[in-house]
Amino acid sequence: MSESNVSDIMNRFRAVVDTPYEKLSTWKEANGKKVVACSPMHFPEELIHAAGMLPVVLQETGEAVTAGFSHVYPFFCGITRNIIDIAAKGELNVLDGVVYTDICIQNRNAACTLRQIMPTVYVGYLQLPTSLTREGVMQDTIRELEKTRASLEELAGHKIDDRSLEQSILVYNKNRSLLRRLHELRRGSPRLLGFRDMQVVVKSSMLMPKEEHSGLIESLVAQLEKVTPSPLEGKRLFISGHLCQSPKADILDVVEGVGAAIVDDDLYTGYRYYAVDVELDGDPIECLARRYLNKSIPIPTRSDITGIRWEEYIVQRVNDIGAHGVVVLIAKYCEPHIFHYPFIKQALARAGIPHIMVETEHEVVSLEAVRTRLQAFVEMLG
Amino acid sequence: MNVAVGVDIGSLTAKSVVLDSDCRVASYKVIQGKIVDEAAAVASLQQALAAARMTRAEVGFLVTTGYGRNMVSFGEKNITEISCHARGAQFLFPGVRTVIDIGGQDSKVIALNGGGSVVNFAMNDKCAAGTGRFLEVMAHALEVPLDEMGMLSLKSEDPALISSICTVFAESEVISLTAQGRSRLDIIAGIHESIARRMHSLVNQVGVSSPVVMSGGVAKNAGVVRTLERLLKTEIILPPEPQIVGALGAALFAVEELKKNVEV
Amino acid sequence: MDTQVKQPNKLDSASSIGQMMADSFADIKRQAAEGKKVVWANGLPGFLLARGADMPVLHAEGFIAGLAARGQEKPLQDAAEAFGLLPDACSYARSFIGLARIAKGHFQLESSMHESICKMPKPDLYINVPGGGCATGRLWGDSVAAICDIPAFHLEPRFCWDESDREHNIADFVRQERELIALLESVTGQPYNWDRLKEVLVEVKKATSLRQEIMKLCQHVPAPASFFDMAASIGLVCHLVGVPGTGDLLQKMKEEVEHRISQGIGCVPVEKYRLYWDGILTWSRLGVLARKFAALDACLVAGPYTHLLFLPRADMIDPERPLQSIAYNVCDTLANYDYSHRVKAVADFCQEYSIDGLVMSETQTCRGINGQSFALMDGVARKLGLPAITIGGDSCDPRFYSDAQVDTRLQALLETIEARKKIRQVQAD
Repeated sequence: MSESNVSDIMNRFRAVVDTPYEKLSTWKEANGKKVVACSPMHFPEELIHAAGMLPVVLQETGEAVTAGFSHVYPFFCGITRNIIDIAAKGELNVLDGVVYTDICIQNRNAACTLRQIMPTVYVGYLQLPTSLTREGVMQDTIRELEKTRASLEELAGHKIDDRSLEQSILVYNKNRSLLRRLHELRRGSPRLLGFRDMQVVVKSSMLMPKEEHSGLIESLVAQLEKVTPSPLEGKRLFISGHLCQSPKADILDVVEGVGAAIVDDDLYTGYRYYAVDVELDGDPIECLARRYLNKSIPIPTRSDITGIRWEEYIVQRVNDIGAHGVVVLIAKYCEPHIFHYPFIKQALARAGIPHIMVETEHEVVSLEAVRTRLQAFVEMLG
Repeated sequence: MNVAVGVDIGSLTAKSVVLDSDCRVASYKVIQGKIVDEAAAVASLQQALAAARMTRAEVGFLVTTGYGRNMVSFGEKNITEISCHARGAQFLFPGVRTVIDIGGQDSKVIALNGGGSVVNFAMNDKCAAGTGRFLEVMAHALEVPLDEMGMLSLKSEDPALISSICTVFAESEVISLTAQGRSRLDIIAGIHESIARRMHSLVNQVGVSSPVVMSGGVAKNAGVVRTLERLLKTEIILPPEPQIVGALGAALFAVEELKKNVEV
Repeated sequence: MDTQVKQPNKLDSASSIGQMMADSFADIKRQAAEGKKVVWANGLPGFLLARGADMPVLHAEGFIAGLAARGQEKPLQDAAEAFGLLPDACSYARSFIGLARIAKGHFQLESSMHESICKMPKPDLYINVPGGGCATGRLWGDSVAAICDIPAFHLEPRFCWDESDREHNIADFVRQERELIALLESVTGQPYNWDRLKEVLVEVKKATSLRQEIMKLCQHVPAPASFFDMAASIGLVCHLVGVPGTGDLLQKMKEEVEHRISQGIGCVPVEKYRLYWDGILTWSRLGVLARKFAALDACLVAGPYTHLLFLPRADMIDPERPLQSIAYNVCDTLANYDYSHRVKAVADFCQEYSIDGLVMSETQTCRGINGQSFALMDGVARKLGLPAITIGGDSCDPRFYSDAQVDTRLQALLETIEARKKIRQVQAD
């Protein structure tokens, strides 16, 4: 089937991303495979893929939290509350398993709570080391990955051999390289694909079979490469932050609607997801471990003082892309981000890079207020 | 001769300022309305024009600002109230470096550089604490006319501590303090301390440099002004009409546009 | 009797703790002035191991809680907020980061009085052991380390997701402790003083054992000492852990408690209700809360924060095996298990202490200690039929506390308990 039209391809992606858990139900029925979700940031989906199950990355949905209030306090981050909420409503029962990694205390609490409220779904916990400068982190990571591999084998009902794992890594590397290609196209010509649409592309990769997604991206890239880039008017902005959860499309529309374009990013549902491949040059579990321990992109959900600091990394990326300013998007109550923000603020000020910090919440409360701030910021950039 | 107009459509008030091309204020008008009320915005515009003996046709350029700037059907350009308050304050008090605006529904702090450009700002637009609304709610709870709150607050020697950051909880604290027999004056002073502390936090996000100008309706409240002066350890300059600073700034931007058009 | 204000009956023997804490902080300043390298730490293991290296060490939570209890925490939190740290973040963390900024001279305090209270010698090393496995400890440790340009060492106790992990977790923690010991040796330039660590643990064993005994004695009805008393003396197993004299003081406290039991003296004038507290204490409102409970004839008897989190495994402390002792006290505590353990532990706890109802403090800047609160309330309600309320509050940021809200909810809880007692009475008759 030819999906040659950009609009058709984007519609395919959008269909996957809207009401993701319902769509998975339909997919399961049609394909007869198990679906295992993982928490964002670090879980090596290749392990699930190699087991012949569909890996998905947990996504925040747009629903207001209701049932969830009986399980978690309101001052927990949006994705934590939302996932607990939809689990309480039974919407995650479509999953055969959920695997969490240790990125922050809220995530850990969410894993415990899911284990409590979804007794029929397997909930696993991958305890990767989070302090990377300690001795033995490589061995610890490998051991943890092997443990998780064993659990997934039990869930799948068969072994995950090294050969399958290598194949899965290649599939994932291919998808990442295609996403990088798309990212580069956008960097050259940001209006080619609105940032909101780029988010849809990345999120759909997290929700559908990688092979299928890669096929669609190849067509998309081919189509977009034919378009003559138009000169960019308006301010060039770098968007930073939003770990785990994707920013709401409304917020992104506001950013791009006040006469600015998002030219580059370091979001999880963005550059972070596809920037680094697994170097397949040995035992596949070891290769996955090495990707986790890769320090080229600083990640605030781990402690690593030998790598580049997040704020220095942002300054480098901003200078590289020639952005006029930075929008720091903090998901309310996200502690890894909150604690890094003062250093980011300081570094940007020292580098003479204007920035605006916008806190986002699960419930989109006041778009007008965000619009005013962002417009004021763009006005301030002159 | 054409005039330039700025219209500030806030959540509950609409303000219009008419300037001639020499930037002299010909007139201004403040109208109370319903939530983001186009009718109130139009009324303020018409009444301001009438006071300046001008007609709509003689308006060379009109800039809207404020919460409702995108929501009204008139105006050639919209600019945020951050830029407009900065511009208005800088016109009234050249060399101003910090503008503190406490309006009905939000509050903001704006930092300007030596050249009068905005270099940083911080806004509290998520909750009522530290805004005019907070004062209204408290005045209502205490059955005190809103415009008397400020002066009354200055009469206390022992402000009550109201520590909640949430308006709703603060209100219940006030009720509780009243029931405990704390004096009205002390409670009112405590309310003003609470607003000032909130603003102090906001100011700290941006940093304070003198001269400091305050705009917005709450600038008419002497209690908030004096308490804030004490916390910030700096004098706060008050415009004679603090509510129209945003509309004035919008009108000044309109004058610039007028001049550009003339040059073209 | 109605017009007389009912005051809590504090333990006399605990009154000298304040001075011991103050002396200890002064001692850190003195040692720093003499040129000794200073450690700042959160969590206990790092603390204990640094003591074994003869290093002056400042306990984060202990220092901040003390300031908050005296209403002196604001300059620290202002220093953190001026830096750009949002007020949503853990208030312990914010306060300590503020303290680091003040220590480095990045934030000017307003007066010399503030200086004497809020300025501590800057650290040369930060050791983080997350309380309850909380990764925020790592974030805050790294922030302090970046501000002070010093190394930070993070001990990561593995969470016990499956029971079968337990022994491995303990062994893993011991391995990490050894790594820390090596770091301490390199920082001090001295071989590690294992004898000192052993001495420290001897005192720790004495202190924690006595503390467990005191707590157990409070199962008595009426309770001779309250949760507030245990909170006020928590410094003896936190900042002052292992300091000579803590064991003796706890011995005195135990004797006072035993005396009260023999005389039928309770810690509140009238004990009609026995309550449990979940979450961290609202340090800035301890006095207010203690008076509030006493006035309502309620005794806040116990809670995990004082009873189950800080070196609760006194039985596993063996000075001859220091690293294992510490490892057990980190890996085998309530905080390192999930809700199912907690429900069982808290339900047992409620039975042992004859608890009538649960007060769950939200601790609003914390997302660690209260992540399982709802499972707890639900589980305990199912097992024991105990009613629960949540109240707003926070460890050391008073802005999150609302007195009127607490009054209303607390009264509602007591009315519920009363109503249930009446029902049981009717059923029994």
